[in-house]
Amino acid sequence: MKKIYVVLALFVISFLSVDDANALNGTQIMHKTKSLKKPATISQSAVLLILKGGRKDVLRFNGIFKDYGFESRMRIEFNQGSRMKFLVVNKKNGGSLQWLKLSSGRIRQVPRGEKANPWLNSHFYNIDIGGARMNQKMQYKLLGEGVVDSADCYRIESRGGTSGVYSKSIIYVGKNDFVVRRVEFFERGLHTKTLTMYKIKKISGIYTPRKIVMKRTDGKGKSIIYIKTINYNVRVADSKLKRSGL
Amino acid sequence: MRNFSLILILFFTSFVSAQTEDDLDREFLENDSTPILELKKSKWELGGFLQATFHQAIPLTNTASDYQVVKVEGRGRIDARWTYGIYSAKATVDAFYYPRQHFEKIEPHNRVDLPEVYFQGGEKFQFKLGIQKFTWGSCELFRLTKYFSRYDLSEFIAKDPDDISKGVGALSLKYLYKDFSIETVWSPLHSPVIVPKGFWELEDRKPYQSEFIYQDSLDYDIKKFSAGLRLGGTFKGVDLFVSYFNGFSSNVLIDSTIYGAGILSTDDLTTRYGKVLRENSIEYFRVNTIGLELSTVVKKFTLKFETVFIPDMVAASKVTDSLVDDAIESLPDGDSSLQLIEQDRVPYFACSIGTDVNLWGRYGMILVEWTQGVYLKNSTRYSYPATSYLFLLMVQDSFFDKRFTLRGGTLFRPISLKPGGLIAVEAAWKFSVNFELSFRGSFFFGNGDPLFEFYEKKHLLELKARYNF
Repeated sequence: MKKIYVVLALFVISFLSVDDANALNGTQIMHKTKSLKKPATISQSAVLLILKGGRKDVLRFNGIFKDYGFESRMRIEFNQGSRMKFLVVNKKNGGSLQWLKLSSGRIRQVPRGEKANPWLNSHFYNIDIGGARMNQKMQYKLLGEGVVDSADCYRIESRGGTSGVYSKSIIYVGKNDFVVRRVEFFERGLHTKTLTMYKIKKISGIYTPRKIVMKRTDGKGKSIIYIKTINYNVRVADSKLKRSGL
Repeated sequence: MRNFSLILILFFTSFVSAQTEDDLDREFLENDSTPILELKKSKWELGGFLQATFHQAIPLTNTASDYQVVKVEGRGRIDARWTYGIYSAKATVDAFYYPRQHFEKIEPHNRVDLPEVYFQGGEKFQFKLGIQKFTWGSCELFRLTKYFSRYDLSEFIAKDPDDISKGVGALSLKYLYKDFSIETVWSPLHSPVIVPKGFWELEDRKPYQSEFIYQDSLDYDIKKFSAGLRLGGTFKGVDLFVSYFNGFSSNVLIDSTIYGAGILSTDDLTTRYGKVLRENSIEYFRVNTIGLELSTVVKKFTLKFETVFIPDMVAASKVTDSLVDDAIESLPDGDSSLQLIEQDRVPYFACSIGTDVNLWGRYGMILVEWTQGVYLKNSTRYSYPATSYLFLLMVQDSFFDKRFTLRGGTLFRPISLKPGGLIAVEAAWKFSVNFELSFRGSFFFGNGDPLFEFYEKKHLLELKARYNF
């Protein structure tokens, strides 16, 4: 299965410059996007801001990620605002496992039935953690064009995801660089959340947003992730990416 | 008044004073042109909390029970961690301050505790040396396979649940292979239970003199170690671990002896009460234990199961009031003694099974758990194992964007000969991710059940403020 990583802790969308995108359809554009260079590992620290009703909660965390080919694993460890640890395993066949280590030390496997629950009371869902996958069955349809943060983009509708949470999404892909800059998420046909990438910089050859915003369309606030430090393709300990290593 | 001001400050700091997104960008991204690549091999992390607790028993009269349960506690914790590559050291320091005398007989005192102090390192092979907490066991409340722990019975549920189980001094070695691990633990002096002075289970209702030989730990002896082995991991989404333990069981027993002196034969029973002494003490026993843990998710349910088999468990014979009276009446004249409790080695089996599920909304949770222990031989001869016939039910939901959490539950023995239990209700308001104010009421019912007898005829109210930093 081919993947596009929209990894929460990392939020790295890998892209490749494209010579000629004229007359591409939605599938071809997304193929360009997902065939871009991707990091094998990521190590980073970030700030998660949760903004709701005039309140601002600040949480800080470290994250590591590794792509094993047949699966990817990610670990998030909060060090301010919470002491929780998360381990996410995304299987190549679409399966996913999540563990949560509470500050009390108890380890709980998170049921798939809770995938649409807010992640740490933020505007991200549990399913958003660790990467949204696009499989071969997904259908892409070019809807037109749009502008995100002054960048001209293609608007592509995506259907057929296996998450069971989002009925469809509309992806904004940069026309010049094929960077995914915005994703509008739909639940039961309604546009509920918008994910937007800002301050995109090229680091180690990989386009990296330093600011990621997940905003609800019903006015119930937004969550912002600021990437403080990030390293690609550095050595990360496999032992930290296992349940027994939590 | 000063405390009130502090609460207000904490409350209002959780609100944003109309910061724009540009302001936030400046605050959290600093200089946008700064290279963000950064590799640090060594780093320090500091955290902790400040907590104030007011704990009141109702009814407020002293005559309701032998215990004056009023607790005003100030507490501070510092968590410090230093990391250098694959090595790290951690120290957790707790300081307790009690401006007001509370438990009459248990007497918690101003002190500094070290729940965790350890040095660890390694990747595939890992070691950890020092006072540490183990995450063995999958269930919520009674984790039967959490052999390496110190269960602090002082104050019992009047303190934070996380504090009931304390860290133990140990060396642990772990090897990780794929999704599996094998871990060995050696604790050189493992005292599994901290028994407070005036331990409620030793309170006697008879008019004779009773004395508790206080012993909250084992005398140092290199032979008094506990050791364990745990192996397992995740197989097709199921967390499965098997374990073996050889060491001191947390199911401590009470030894009890009646002493007499002088001429007793001419006295009636009531007069003899005044001439005898009942002496109680805690007995620790080494046992062999085989354990199994299972945990998995099925749709919305997290399922948990733990079981242990102990072939050489120690069981204590039942002691009834009439048995004590018979013993006193049978004491001969002169210095004499009679042991009231007989202890036998018998096979023992226990299991905990439970589930938690998000049944409604996004935060509505229900947790149920059943724990049962049984002696597999002559079970009617012995007192109930401490962890048997225990049913736990907890319900929780959150409102106002998870600022307000309401939880309630019950822990009780529905089948025991002496049923008892508690119903607890808690409301907590989170002013920010760092500051929470909570109120809890614990209401006890039933008499004669040693687990709940401590608060017999009393209920507890607790108000707690906590600020994490």
